[in-house]
Order: sequence, then structure tokens, then C-alpha cells
Amino acid sequence: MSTRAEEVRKKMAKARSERFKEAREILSEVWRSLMGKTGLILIVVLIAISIYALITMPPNIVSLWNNPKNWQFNPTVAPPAWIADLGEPVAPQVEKTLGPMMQGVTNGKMVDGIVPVVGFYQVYTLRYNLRHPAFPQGILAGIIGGKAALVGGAQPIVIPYIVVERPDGIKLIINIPTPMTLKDLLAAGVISLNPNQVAAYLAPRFNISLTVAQSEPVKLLFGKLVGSKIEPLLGTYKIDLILVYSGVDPAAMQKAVISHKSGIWRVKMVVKGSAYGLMGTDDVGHDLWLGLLFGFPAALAIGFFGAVTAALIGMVMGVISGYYGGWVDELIQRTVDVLGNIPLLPILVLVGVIVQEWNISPWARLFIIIGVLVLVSWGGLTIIVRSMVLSIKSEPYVEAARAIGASDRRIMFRHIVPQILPYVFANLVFSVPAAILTEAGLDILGIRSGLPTWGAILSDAEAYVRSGGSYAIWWWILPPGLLIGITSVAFVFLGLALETVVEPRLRRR
Amino acid sequence: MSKENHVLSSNGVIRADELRVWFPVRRSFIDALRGKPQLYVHAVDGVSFEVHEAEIFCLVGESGCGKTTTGRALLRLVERDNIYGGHVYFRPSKEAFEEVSRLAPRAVVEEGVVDLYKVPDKAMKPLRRELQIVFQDPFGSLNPRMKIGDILEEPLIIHGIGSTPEERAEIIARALETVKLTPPEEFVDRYPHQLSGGQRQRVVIARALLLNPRFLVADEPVSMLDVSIRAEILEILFELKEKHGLAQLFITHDLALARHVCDRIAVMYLGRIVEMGPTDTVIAKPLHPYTRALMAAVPEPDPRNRLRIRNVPIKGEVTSAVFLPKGCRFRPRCVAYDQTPAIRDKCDNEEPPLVEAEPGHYVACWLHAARARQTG
Ligand SMILES: Nc1ncnc2c1ncn2[C@@H]1O[C@H](COP(=O)(O)OP(=O)(O)O)[C@@H](O)[C@H]1O
Ligand code: SF4
Ligand SMILES: [Mg+2]
Repeated sequence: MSTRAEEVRKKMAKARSERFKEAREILSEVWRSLMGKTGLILIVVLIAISIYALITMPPNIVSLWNNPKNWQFNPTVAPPAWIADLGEPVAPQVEKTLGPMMQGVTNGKMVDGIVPVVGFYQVYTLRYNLRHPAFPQGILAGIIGGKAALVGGAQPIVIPYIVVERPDGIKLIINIPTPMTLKDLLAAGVISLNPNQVAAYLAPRFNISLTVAQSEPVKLLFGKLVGSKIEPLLGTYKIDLILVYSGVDPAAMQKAVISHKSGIWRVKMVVKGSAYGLMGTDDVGHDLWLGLLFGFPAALAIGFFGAVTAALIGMVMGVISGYYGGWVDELIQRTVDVLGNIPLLPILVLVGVIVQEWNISPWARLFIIIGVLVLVSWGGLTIIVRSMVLSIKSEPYVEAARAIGASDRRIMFRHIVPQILPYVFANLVFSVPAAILTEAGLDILGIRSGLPTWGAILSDAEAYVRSGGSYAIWWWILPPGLLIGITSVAFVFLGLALETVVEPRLRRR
Repeated sequence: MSKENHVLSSNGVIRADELRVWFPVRRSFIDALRGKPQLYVHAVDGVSFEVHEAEIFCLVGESGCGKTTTGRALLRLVERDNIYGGHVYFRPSKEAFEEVSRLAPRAVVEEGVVDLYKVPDKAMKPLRRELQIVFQDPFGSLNPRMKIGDILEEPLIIHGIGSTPEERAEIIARALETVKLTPPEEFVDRYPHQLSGGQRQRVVIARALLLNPRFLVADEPVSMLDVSIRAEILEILFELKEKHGLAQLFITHDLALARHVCDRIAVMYLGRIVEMGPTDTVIAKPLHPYTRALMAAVPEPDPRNRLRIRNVPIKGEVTSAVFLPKGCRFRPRCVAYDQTPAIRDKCDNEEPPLVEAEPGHYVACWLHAARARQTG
């Protein structure tokens, strides 16, 4: 090999290694524009948060979200806890997982002075300090550790009591202590207060009518009457969960509990606050922080899947249509015409309704909906790509490629597609927010996949307000709304910046 | 052109035979419904000629008369749908002929000759190597996104020439040297827009030469270049003829240039050849009124005469290739028609055939039809 040829080979190899230079050039030009920079930074942040979300989120987030039982310990429609730092009075959320404070066998003792006990019993205690004038939402005990096995051949029966001792000394049993088999109790999983019982207890003490008391029993529990108004009663509340076991030999029961063979040994006691977590809760008690966090990867998945597939289909169809012409072109163009004239929304609503009836995973449901969106939305790009292909096809260098024997495929992928790729990419970036917004819009219309997307959260808020809730639920409306907006703006910014970079390059072609 | 029973003479490389290329004029759907007839641009309308080995054959004529289309049709670059008649016969190299006759035996016309428009697309590849083109526009005929090295490597990859990057580099280096782009390593990593027009045209020629073609169409290869570099490009084409015996179809609208470059010349008017013959003969003794008009339009080589206002014997403008007049298509512009009442009836009603007015010199005009024997 001559040295000359060696030089040529080296130069060519180097040139080949620089193939992606153009992509880098475009990127750096985009970076230099304010809009491009803003868009890119926002998108990088969105992606980083999505990765964080995917790593930290429980893997079964979707089923977790959709089972209300998982959220029963949370207050409902509660603003974020940090409003306390802004000076708002807040009743704190207190959750404690406890073992029994006391347990033993007795032969007729008045536990807490009001619960008569014979046999084996346990007391779990939670203290709750109400420092600011706000009302908690309720009291609940969940069973965390326990097992329902026969003791001495018999199924243990449990009678649960919840006793509250208020700062003013009033002591109340606030649930209807119903005997249940241990098995049933474990299956129920929670022991909650009974509002009617609270009302019945407190109405005579506050000297108010039962109907008034029944309207806000939990307020009565944590309140005092000032004039005709109920105001929060500040101070420390002692809340006892008392479990009385019967139907079995008490000593055997005690042994079984201590050795964790049967009975209950761990309980989560909760006072639902008036505010909750970083982002508050909705009407089910969902921790909105989790939902919003999940919304990041969900939005990007929806946006990318929708945009990438629409762009791919649109580009391939446009290239085929423009390159081959004839009846293929005619067929594709007529299809685009038809799709373009189908009213998108009714179709999506129809598909959404059908899909909701199907018993498939929420992800599958979501991707079917987005798939329909893609199916009707690739046409616009196809028309543009087709016209670009028509103009590129008539360039002499395409004919030159044919003259040297290049196959149709080679001409399409080597000579035509690289020219339109930057444009298709800019178009793709623009259609990311379109997919996200469409998904959100469908959520609002009630076409739900079942995933806690930002759109779904917003639509829950909308449903809540429409069914008579107050508009004051800013923490439930603003964050998902803003996140949808910011995400869209990020992609629109990047798209605009890309377009200004790509357009002159296209013209320079 | 002694044909006997052969479609190609013994030294013929390619031959157009009564070739017709029409482009349908787009009519609206409504017009089609109303039954308006489909109109056609008769870009090439019954053209026959042959190009020999080691010959530069010129196609001369005004812009729009169908020169480029003829060249593209010879290389089978025109869609088959637009071929409304005729044949293109081509004599490929022995190896290519064997391959084609194996892949598409029906395209074989006689030993060594194929009918290009009977070759199916997938059997064209071996023939593509041997049929090359240099375009008029050196700016459009190189993909702006590819570097020169990649542009030149593409035909090698397509045809599997040179199995390693080293071998291909060797071939590319040699091709660049042939077109006098030296040193070659200076050029392979540049983009087309980093080259001058003349350099680009050399790259285009180098690309065509890499495949070692038997027939080259040079479509106005210098018309868009500075006068100063034209000679160098023409020099390369000359060399290809002299050293490699390459058959070339040289297309130009410039009769003066044709006189300088060509062995034989054909003058085209509205899709037909009106006069054809050895360059010297045609230039010295133009027979067709159109050729005479073209000759008169050529600037005088003698500067003393250059400022003389000359009388170019032609009327009007080129007429449409869609609505052709009955009879001779040159008639609306013909001065001889006005001056020769005796043949007017013929001119009005019959298309003049291309006849051999003197040995090797053909013309299509009723003025000469009488004293010539008609060619087949
Ligand atoms: N692909 C095409 N489609 C439609 N009309 C064409 C096409 N190519 C050429 N023509 C028409 O055919 C005629 C001859 O064109 P062309 O061969 O380019 O002429 P020339 O090269 O002599 O200037 C012109 O009227 C031109 O408009
Ligand atoms: S045939 Fe008649 S009209 Fe045509 S060029 Fe000759 S003289 Fe003129
Ligand atoms: Mg031309």
C-alpha cells in the first residue's frame, strides 16, 4: 500500500469517527440559546427526578396507590405539614408502632378506670400533644404484628376498646367494643373509633343536641365548647387501645402472645393530623408526594412513548410515501386525510371507555390510549416529511446515488433520512408535551388508566370540587398543574431552540 | 452505421432506437372526470443514435429540448412509466453481460447486447457500474452531508470493489489523482461545500470513474464552471477517451463548445434530432435551418468581426413540447419555410424523417429529403 493511500485511509477513518459531529454541533448551538439552555436544564432535572423516583418508589406503587386500605391511616384532603412553619395552626399527624405498654391476667379489674376486665388483656398507649388550635381528623389503630392460631384448641375472642383521656380529665371509650374472633380482627386489620358513639357520649356532656354532635364528633372529641362554638382543646391526650382476650385459658393466652404463637403483639396507633407530609393528601388519603413523584417517570414515559412512536411512524410513512410515489403514496396520503378528519377526542373517549372496562394492567391501559393517540396523530409529520422527501429526491445527488447502483433502501437511509432527521427530531420534541397534555386531558374527562399520573391527580381534585368540595385545596391542584406546565414548557423551549437551529440547516441543504 | 442484422455496430457501445420519453402533464381530478385528454410533455420524441467506443458524441440544442432527458433515459434513470416507446441497446463488458444474461435472459437482444429497459431493477446492478453520469450542477450532485471520502467510497461498497478499507483507500487515492485532485488526502475529509465548483466537478468525475464505466454521460459538465477551469475538466474527458477508449455522450447547449469537444454531433429540437453527423461536416455545412440559425448565433472567433450585428435566421421562441404543430415541429420558427413555398405542403402535414443527405450526415428537413435516401 502506498503511503499516499495510507494517508487517505487515515483521514477517512478519522472522518468516520466524527460522524456524530453534527448532532453535537446542533446540541451546542441549542445550548447557546437561552431558551434551549432553559429547556435542556429543565429536561435534565425532570429526568434526574424520574430516575430518583424509579429507584426510591415501592415497586408495586400502582396497586399500592389504588388500594384505599393503604391510605386509611392518613388524613384526607389535608394540606402539607409544612404550612405549620408558615404560622398556620396545625394538629400534627402522629403515628407510632408499639408493643403493649402493659399486659397480664386479671380477675376483674377496671383498666383505665372504665374498662372491666376478666382474663388476659393488653394495653397499648399513645400520647398526643395538641399545641395549636386545630382539630385532628381522627384516631385509628392498625394491627401490625399478630397471628390467629388456636389456643388450647379454641379460637381466641378479642374485645378491643379505645379509651381516650382528655386534658380536661374526661375519659371516654370511643368505639363500640364488639367481641370478634382473633382471626376476624386480624383480617379487618384496624380498629377505629365510632363517630356515633363519640357523639352519643359527648352530646350530654357538652349539653348539645345529638344531631349537632353527630355532625362533627371528632371535633367534639378534641374540642371544648366556647359559647356555641367548638374550639380545639389544647393539651396532652392519652389514648389507650385495650385488647381483652376471652374464650381461652388466660394463662395459655399470655404464653401464646409472649412467644408470638397467637394473639397480637404490635400495633400502629395513629392520630390523623390536620396536615400531612410534604405535599398533603387527597380525599382518599393518598400521600400526594408519592403520586407527584411517580408522575415524573410516568409523564416522561407517556411523552416519549407517544412522541417517539408518532415520529417514527410519521417519518417512515412520509419517506415511503414521498420516495415510492404512485399508489403507495396515494394510499398513505388518503389514510392521512381520513385520520386527519377523524375527530380525535370522541375516538379517544370511546377507546378510553372501552379500555376502562377491560381487566388489564393500568400500564397496558395507558399504552393503548397513547397508542390510539399516536395512530391518529402521525399524519401531520408524514405530510411534511413527504414534501421534504419529494424535494430531496429530485436532488441530483440522489440520482447520482441511483446511477452508482445504490438500492432504494440505501438511498432512503443514507441520503434522504439523514437530511430530515434533525427536523423530525425537533418535531418529536414538540410532540412530547402534546402526549402528556392529552393524557392529562383524558384524565380530566374521566378516561383513566388507573396510574397516579399528574393528570389523574388533577382530575381527582376536579371531581372532588365538583362533588361539593372546597376550592381551597391548592396543594392538590397547583403542584400537578404546575408540573404538567413546566414539563410542557421545557420541551416546547427545547423544540423552539432546536427548530431555530435546524431550520437554516435545512434551507442550506 | 452499417447495421445489417445487428442492433449495435461492431464498435457501438450504446444505441437509442426510436426512443420516446413523455412526461404526463398533471391534470386536475375534475379535468380527468370531464374527460379532458391526458397531455404529455414530449421531452424525447423518437430519437435514434449510437455512441461508439472512444468517441465523444455531442447532443446540442436549446435548453428544454430534451438533452438531459435523453441522457438520463440512456442510463435508465428515467422511470419506466415515462418511456413511451423505443429501446436502449447497450453492450456491457463480458463479465457484466454474462451476469445479466444469467439474471435476466430476456433482456439479451443479441450476443453481447442487452435491451436496458428489459432488464428488471434487481438485475441492473452489474450494469450500473458501466453506465455513469456527470451532472451539470456540481453543487447539487454531491450529498452535502457526506465527506468526499465517504462519497467516493460509496460506489466501491455498493459494488464490493476493494474488500478492505486499505484497498478502497488505494483506489480512491488513485481516482483523485486521475482527476488531478492532489494530494488526495487533502480532499477526503472535506465536505463538498469546502470545495470550489471545479474541484467538486472533479470529485463527481472521480466517482464516475471509480467504477470503470464503459459509457459516460457528461451533462453540460462545464456550463456552471468558471471559464478558467473548463479546459482542465474537458482535458480529463479527452484523456478518458484517448487513454481508456471511454464512449461519452457530451450534452451542451453551446455549439462552439461542441465543435471543440466532439467527434460527432447531433442537434436536437423539441425532442427530436434534426441533424446529425461528424462535427466538422455539420459545422462546415449545416443543412437544417435550425442548425444554421444556431451556427449564426455562435460568437465569431475573430474579434474584428465580433461586433458586427449578424442576422440570425430564426423567428419567435421555442414552442411548447406539449402542443406540437402538425407536420414539422420547427415550422413556426422556420425561415426556409417562408422562403420555399414549394415544400410548404409537406412541412405543414408530415414530420420530416431523418435521412442521410450525404455519407454519415443526416438531416430531418423536407428541403433535403428529396435528394437523400431515407434511413431505416
Ligand atoms: N421529470 C420530469 N417531469 C416532467 N417534465 C420533465 C421532467 N424532466 C424533464 N421534463 C421536461 O422535459 C423537457 C425536456 O427537459 P430536459 O431534458 O431537461 O431538457 P434540456 O436538458 O435539453 O434542457 C422540458 O420541457 C422539461 O420541463
Ligand atoms: S421541414 Fe420545412 S419547416 Fe421543417 S425545417 Fe425543413 S423547411 Fe423548415
Ligand atoms: Mg439539461
